[in-house]
Amino acid sequence: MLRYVAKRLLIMVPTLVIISLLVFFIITLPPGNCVTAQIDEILSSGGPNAIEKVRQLEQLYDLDKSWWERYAIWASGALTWDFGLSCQDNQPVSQLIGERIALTMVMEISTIIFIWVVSFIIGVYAATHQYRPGDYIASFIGFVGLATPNFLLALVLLYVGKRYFGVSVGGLMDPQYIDQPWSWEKIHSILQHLIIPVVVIGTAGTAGMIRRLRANLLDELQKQYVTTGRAKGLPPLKLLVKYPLRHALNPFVADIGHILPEVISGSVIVSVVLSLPTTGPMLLSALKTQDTNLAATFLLFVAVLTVIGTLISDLLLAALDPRIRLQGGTEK
Amino acid sequence: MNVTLRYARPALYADYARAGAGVAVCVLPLLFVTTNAVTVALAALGILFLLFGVRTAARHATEIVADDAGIVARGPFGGRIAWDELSRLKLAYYATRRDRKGGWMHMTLSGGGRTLRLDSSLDGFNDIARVAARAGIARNIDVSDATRANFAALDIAYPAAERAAA
Repeated sequence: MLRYVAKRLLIMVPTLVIISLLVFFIITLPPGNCVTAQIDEILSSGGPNAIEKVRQLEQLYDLDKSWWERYAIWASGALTWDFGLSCQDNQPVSQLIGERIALTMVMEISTIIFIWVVSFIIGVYAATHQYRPGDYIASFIGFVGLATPNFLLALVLLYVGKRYFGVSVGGLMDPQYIDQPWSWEKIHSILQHLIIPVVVIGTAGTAGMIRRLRANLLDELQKQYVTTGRAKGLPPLKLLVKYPLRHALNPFVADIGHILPEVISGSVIVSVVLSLPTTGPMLLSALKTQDTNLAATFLLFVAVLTVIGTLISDLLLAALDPRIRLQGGTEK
Repeated sequence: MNVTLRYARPALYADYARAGAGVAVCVLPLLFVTTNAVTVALAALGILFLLFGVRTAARHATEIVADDAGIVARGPFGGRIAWDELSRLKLAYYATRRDRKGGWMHMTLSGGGRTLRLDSSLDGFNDIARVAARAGIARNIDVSDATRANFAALDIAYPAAERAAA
């Protein structure tokens, strides 16, 4: 296992380098960026020090260098947690993303837990009560969840919350805690505001997972070993938990790899709609204004999460799934 | 009967290369930058690769000998299990691909308060698995269905405990 981990970790290095290189290159492809917009503004307004200001800006953002030189500076800076300056805010990227990444992680992890818990309960119930009212209701909820865009659900909940309950569900904390140091009250406020985004972002994932778990569990429950166990008088719960459920759970583990980036990219629009102070709206704005350093840093984080998630899911799968070799070919 | 096995040299050299590359990638940047969250993560990964290198060296120096009396791992972290003391036998197969290819086998033998773990990168792993299975059947050790099926994949029949007893 240690050899496998070492192999995978080594592969992660060139993978991340290639991803970051591609991301950086693609972001710089269109002509101009938010610095050139500032330079144009300075030049058009004129003034005695216009040329000097432009030169300073060019040096500050390394515009006098080629894109790959700028990439090398940004990538080597990443090792010291220095991702350069954000040209739209004129602040270091590391300062801008700090709290937002923490809040994003809290929201995404809560969403993943929500997806797992809800889909596990409903999926198992639907499979063990096939073609009964509960199964139809679960399937209906699943299809509605799959078919409803997250941002639409967010808009509906915003309206319902304001219109019928008189509460604003926007934001990730009460306004008085914004830009305040961390306290228990602030955490409590975040937890309260977390419910709506988690439900909104998690709905589509939950729906997909319910369908998958139900289908897998139904496949397992129809196998001969289950019939044999039933014929031998095994208690239904033991018969369900011992093997079929274990096998049907594999997709849960396998999904860790892509559920992380999926949830993060899926939450961008929802975060904009719900005014959440997460990375989503900032990434969108960075891409719109071609803030290369900021956008590349966010996308690098998504890439890191993806490769780490995939590694974790592969390791868990290898460890949890009692595999049987079907044919020759063990690795030397 | 006397089977002597060592870990395959090409696989060991490849592992040394991996360990070296991993340590270099993780540790070299630490020489040029001050401590921060990224360097802490890199240092942790560097330690992991270092441990991998140490384990590879231990395997390089290890020789597995199985005879009529038992099985011995000679070298660092070695040990001996007499077949008479064998109490547990497990043959697991780890595959991270859905088609179950490209995986590796891992055999665990316990007895007399010792545990030996061998994997399929051993040159002649099938031979040692055969010897271990023979000892397990003789001692009437019950194994899991997965272990039995994995022995079958190596063309080694491991009957269920009742049949072994019969």
